Amino acid sequence: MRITLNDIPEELPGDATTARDVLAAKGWSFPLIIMKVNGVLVPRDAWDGFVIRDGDAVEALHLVSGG
Amino acid sequence: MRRILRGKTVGVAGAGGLGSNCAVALARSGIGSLRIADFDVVSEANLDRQYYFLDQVGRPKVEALRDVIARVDPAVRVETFDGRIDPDSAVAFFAGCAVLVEAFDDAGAKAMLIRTALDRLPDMPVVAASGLAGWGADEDLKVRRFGRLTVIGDEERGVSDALPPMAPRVGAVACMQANEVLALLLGPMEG
Repeated sequence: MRITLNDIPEELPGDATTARDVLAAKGWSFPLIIMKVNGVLVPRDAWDGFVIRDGDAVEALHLVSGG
Repeated sequence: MRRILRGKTVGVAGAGGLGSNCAVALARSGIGSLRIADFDVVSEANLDRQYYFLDQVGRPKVEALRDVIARVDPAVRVETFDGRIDPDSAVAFFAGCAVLVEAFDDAGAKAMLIRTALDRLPDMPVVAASGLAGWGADEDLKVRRFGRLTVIGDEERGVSDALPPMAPRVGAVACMQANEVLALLLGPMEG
């Protein structure tokens, strides 16, 4: 399946995955991650069950230090 | 416009490179009231990017910033919190603000504040910054909105020995944060 993650095309195995698995595939384990799929916020407690399908646009935010 | 802004209170969490520059930009814009929190004192090393002056070295940042703002516009009301912000103190100090600006340095502290605000300060827009180290790369600075959270920066360049925070890029992001606050308070520009 093919999605975009932060506007960058990503190839993932299978036909569907979950929001949590997308983050796991990227190795993201930051202290705060906020996700949107096709423009809609996906709360953290819904990541396990939220299905991501071919063609979905995933936006995920994490924080880096500096201020 | 000024009349609307005079009636607004904006919270600024952190008074370093982001917070000091953002707060001064908001004061110059005519915001009526600012609530500023920081635990640190002004050091000479801060003067490379923060809105302080040599004669303020050694003073608590929140006091120094209050004085700077008073010199710009004594009508701006400034409430200060001189200490470390944790979830409870964040809720107590910032409750009632029209917008909260996240201006911390450390990514973990940023995460704590944003999570606290989203969980415990209902309806309050939060304007955060992530990715402002180094120089150049203006074209990488972006604004992304996730519900009532706006994040400004390149989301990539954290500070390191090779990539220090520097006045132009930190100041650019701080002013973009202030600009986003104005947009939230005034609504979009016409035309």
